[in-house]
Amino acid sequence: MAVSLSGQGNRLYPYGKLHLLEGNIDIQATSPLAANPICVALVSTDYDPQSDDQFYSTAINTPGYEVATTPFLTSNVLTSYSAPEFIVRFGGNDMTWLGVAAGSTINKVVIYREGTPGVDDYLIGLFMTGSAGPFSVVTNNGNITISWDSNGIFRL
Amino acid sequence: MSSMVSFGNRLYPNGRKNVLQGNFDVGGSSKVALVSASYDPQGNDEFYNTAIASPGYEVATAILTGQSITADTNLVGCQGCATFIANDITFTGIVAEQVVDKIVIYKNGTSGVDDYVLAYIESGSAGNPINIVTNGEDITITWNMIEIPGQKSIFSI
Repeated sequence: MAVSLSGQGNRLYPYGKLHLLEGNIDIQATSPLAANPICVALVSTDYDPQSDDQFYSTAINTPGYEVATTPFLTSNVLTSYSAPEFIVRFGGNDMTWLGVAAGSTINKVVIYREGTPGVDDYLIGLFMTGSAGPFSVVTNNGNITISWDSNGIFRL
Repeated sequence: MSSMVSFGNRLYPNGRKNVLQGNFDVGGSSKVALVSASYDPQGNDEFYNTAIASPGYEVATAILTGQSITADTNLVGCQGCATFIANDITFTGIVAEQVVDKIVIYKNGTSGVDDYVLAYIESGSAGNPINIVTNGEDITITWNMIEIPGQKSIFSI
């Protein structure tokens, strides 16, 4: 049974975690050196994320929820943390989308692995909350920049 | 890096890193080791052979079977985690008079190349520290059943 993830905070998709554990995603893959780089999408308010969403094309692109093109994440870095956390932080460069067409409202950012649509374009991370809480951006043909948290994009 | 002793059951940082880099299919060929009390796990341990086998901390090993990974799309129990499970495992022919207080899961790979350590377990049910003095008899690990109700799990993320 799928459950809506709206309003449940930033998280990794359950299937994203599964594909990480199966070795299907290299989170440090960056274009043009890797065949399946990690991409970031600005997504419209119409997208109601479901707990069983798995592929970017099926869940977001084909239904028309993608607002902006999806540049590759660059300078992806994994940093280990010592005691008492013993975790790994995933970080990357801040990103800017140029001249995002007016007329859309963005309230989600999605990280995914570029791949064959519906086959291995795996969804990874869903972000609905920024530093000041839930965000909502009405596009106006201007640029949009994401500045990742100083603690990284996510930690595992 | 710091010793991981007494910080509880956890994934090694480099195990997490190798998962995120796609270097470790946890559902693939993995092994479990019973490890002696002499092993002081470090936060930067990465390879099983280097950290455990070569220094002589390995008491017994066995290949995991029946691995599967389940995505919790119902958001019950672990609230959307991915859970890793495998069959319970029995070690046979263990030499007597060794002290086992740790269990390590690692990739069945080439020594020092991709035999990545993944999970470090020092507590059993109810959080009790593992402490077994071997006596020549078999030792069986029965995995936990708490993350998703009714379903066993070794760990979840």
